[in-house]
Amino acid sequence: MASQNQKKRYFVKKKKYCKFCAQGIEVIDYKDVDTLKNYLLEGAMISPRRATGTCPKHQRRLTRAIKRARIMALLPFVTQ
Amino acid sequence: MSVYETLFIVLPSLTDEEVDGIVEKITSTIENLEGKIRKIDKWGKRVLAYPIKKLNEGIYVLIEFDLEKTNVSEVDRKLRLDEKVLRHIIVNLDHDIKLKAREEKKRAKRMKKVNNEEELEQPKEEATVEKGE
Repeated sequence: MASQNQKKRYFVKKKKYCKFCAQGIEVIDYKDVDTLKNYLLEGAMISPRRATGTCPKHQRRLTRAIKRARIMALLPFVTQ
Repeated sequence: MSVYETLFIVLPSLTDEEVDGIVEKITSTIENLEGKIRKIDKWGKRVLAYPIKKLNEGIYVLIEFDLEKTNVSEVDRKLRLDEKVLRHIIVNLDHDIKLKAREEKKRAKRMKKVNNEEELEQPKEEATVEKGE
């Protein structure tokens, strides 16, 4: 029993949630670079939903915003 | 009429007056096409995320305006022909404005809920205090 309890402790997961839904944000602006930067992985890739927990609706708007920001050189396409 | 927004980058070597000249040129074309200027926002010099035409800096300008859908291509053409403009983007804001209205409605509802809960909680607390005394 003791070993089972220990195992359970190791695998406690933090539940992911959509931060835009939690804050009630509907519009994701491509000019708002600071929030968009939180959703870039190293190499400036867009982080997948499974990594951040963003809901489908907001992920779609987020990717569009990031792509627009990249065109206007507010965000990089790639970083080394 | 729809609401649009254009953000463009001009050469960093330009003086303030030259930037104003470009802004005036674009605002006048919008007004000639029976549009209305809502807002002009000059961000100033910013470091680009990657070099464009071997330049590492650019001056950003944001213009918000009302215009008929069929006339937007004319503004796009003007921006594209200007060699001092490094890059530009034109975005339709109609959908965003609708969504923002919805966002505010939701927020108002939430605030109401919070206020109601507070109102409900407060009298209870008072009642318990009275009982304690």
